[in-house]
Amino acid sequence: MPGDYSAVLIFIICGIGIVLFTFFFSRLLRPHNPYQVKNETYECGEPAVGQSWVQFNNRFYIFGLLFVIFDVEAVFLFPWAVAYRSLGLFALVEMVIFIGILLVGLVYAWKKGALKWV
Amino acid sequence: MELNGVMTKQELIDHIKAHFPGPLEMIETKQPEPYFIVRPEDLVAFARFIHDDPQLQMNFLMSLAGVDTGQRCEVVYNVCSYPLKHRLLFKILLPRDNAEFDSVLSVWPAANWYEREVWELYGMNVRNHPNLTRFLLTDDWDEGNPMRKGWTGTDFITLPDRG
Amino acid sequence: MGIIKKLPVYAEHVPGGGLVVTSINSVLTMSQAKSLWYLLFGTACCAIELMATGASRYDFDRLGMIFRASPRQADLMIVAGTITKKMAPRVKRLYDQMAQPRYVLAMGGCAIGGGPFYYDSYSVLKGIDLVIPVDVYVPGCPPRPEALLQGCLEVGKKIRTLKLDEWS
Repeated sequence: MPGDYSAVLIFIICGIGIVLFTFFFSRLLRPHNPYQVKNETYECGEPAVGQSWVQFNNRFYIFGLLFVIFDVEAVFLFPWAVAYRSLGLFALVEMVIFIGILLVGLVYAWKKGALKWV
Repeated sequence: MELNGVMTKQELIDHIKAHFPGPLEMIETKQPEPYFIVRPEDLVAFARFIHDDPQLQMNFLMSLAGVDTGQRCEVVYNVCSYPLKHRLLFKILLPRDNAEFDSVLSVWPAANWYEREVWELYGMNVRNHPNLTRFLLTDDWDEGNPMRKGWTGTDFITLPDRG
Repeated sequence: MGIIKKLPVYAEHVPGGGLVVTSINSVLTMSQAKSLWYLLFGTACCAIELMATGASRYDFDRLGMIFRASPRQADLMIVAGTITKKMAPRVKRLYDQMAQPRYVLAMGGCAIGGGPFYYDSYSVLKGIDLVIPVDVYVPGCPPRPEALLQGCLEVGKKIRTLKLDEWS
């Protein structure tokens, strides 16, 4: 029902609003005194040398990949969970098979050592 | 404290005296390691000898320190052997002015920073050292060699004698 | 920056404004004093006592004090240990990189005035207050953890005496 979604809108507005409120309220309270040495990059007391953009190692790619896969799985699980009551046994079995396939993938990645922090 | 070395102190002394061609003096100490005085000219030869000799195999330079006694300068070397577990102390005597000695980097690479420290704090020149630059004192240090006897600097306060 | 510095001036004209200002003052200073996050800056033996004070027997966390490794996230710098002349510019730079309001606690003899290295030393800085402003000195060599906790409580007391127009 369209009327039920007004609660969601209020939630969104309150969430963003609280964050913005804390940002601007702390602006009122904190001292503002920038000077050159204060704004320099922190490097344990020495003047900063070199760029701070480093190349990430290839090993992190695996974690990114696993995250994307299971995140998409979670996206598919949400509408199923919301409409669970009205869907019946068929949807349950189908979803269990879906999760099972992804679980096999997870076990494969696990046994292959992709989850070990190398 | 006795070391569990392969050779006893007297055996070490006899072996070194028998096999090293240059003149060596001994200092009598109660410590379990022999203490030699080597001539500065024989320094690298002596170091190479005790490093390479199969019955000595002194492959670990434990420390290298400079000394300024007021009358002369010395450099004291403390070496030991990992496989044979015995130790040795030896030193060279140098005049206070224009003290110079050879680097033992070719024998023990660990001597690198020790010799830089001796150069920086005592002012003793080290020949054949690849990188003799200041690294312990501050970047703008211009007050000389702090570890020399009688040195004073801008901020240096000596302990007052208590009667 | 803040209206908060100008608040006392405007609040005078309002009846009851003074009350508001003092309550805001006490809330702000008390919240600061009870949650001082300190910069892990231990150089020598006093650092061991600092670690011991942060450990379980004499806990820093019960005073709300957590250690932070970066000066950007810290508001109290506990200078624990001997500071040499070579280290002094780095201490100054770290102090400069802390966000205000920031406080400094000099822990131990060496940070207060050179300590045992005041005499016959060519390299030790005779006291950290030659490079940064210090709020509280905690004497000892090293000070006992109870003494350091007392020092941190004194910093809290000092913070609570600050007024809004000194807020920086």
